Amino acid sequence: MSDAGTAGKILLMPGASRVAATAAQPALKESADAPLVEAVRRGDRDSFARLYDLYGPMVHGILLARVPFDEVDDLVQDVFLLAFKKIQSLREAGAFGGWLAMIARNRAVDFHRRKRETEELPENLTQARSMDSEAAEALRLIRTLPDAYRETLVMRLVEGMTGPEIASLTGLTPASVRVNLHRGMKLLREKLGMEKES
Amino acid sequence: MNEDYLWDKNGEADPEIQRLEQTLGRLRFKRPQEPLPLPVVSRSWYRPGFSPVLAIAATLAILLLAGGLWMGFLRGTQGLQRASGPPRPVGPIDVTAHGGVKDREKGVTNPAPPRLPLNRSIQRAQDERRIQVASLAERALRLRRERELNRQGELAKEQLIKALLITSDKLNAVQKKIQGSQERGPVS
Repeated sequence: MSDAGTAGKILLMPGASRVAATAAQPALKESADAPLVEAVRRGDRDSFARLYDLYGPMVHGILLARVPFDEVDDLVQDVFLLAFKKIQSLREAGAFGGWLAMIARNRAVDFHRRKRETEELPENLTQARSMDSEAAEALRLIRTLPDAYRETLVMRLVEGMTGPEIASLTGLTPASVRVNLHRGMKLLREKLGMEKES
Repeated sequence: MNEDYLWDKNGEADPEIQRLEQTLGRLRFKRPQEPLPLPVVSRSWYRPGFSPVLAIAATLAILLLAGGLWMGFLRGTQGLQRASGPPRPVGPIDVTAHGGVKDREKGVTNPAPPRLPLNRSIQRAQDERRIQVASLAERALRLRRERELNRQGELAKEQLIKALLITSDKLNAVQKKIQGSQERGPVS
């Protein structure tokens, strides 16, 4: 089995089934965002705006790894609106990041399901309008990687987050994020090399 | 590849990673100018720990429990009525090993109907059921006897009161006669 395949099976958390994702998450730690979540539950909208600032890049990264670029902004809003409506159902305030990441992944899945039901447009047609060809090509290559790698790579390379920040916001263990980054980058280099050769 | 730079942007920068960061960084998240259009959420339904599904399930469970208790109560009263219906001379009941019901006073055994071979637990359950029915019948008979005794006592009491009234009337009449003869004086 290839390196990517093995890693995909062992460390695949984002985009995998709900059960696999929750099982792979570390024990809940005291989150600094828990007071913000509690404040939102009490009806404080400003605290939710703060959460939006903190977690916006993470949600953007998760969606960008899965859906066309020009759809991402609308979907980010959808995810946060849904989170605001459902925040009372969140049992552990400290688990907000992992919970929000799961909402974003599910929203991306919904998007593709509805897209199949309505119409099918070539992805590069819509993207060509909004971003330059070099960025589009790099993103296209990242999207060919396994789910776990592309999500962490997009957060690192597009959103500019560090590994510890990714781990802290998504609720994944730092070790998982580190391995995903390393192996994902290795695969991406190989693909970039092959592209240059061809 | 410089792992430290990829991990936390520390150490010597990797030129290929930097180039990718610059290229892809143009797609970075930009917070929209207008605030998020948050909906107005009714807080009465959204309390921490409150689940409408759980509340409905709990209500259904309570209704089922109440219904079960009510049905059990109805069945119990019907059983009592059936047991106390037709009079049946029953003495102290003994359940024999074969399932027959024996009347000790009369020494007559009501033979049990022929049965198919059942396992012991079913037999025991049947025996217990039979004992329950018999004890209910016994209790009903005792109640009937008590009621009969009470009725007879009431009758006897009424008769006694009537007799006393008649006696007192007679005594009054005799007393009046005696008083009348004393007023008239001796007959010469």
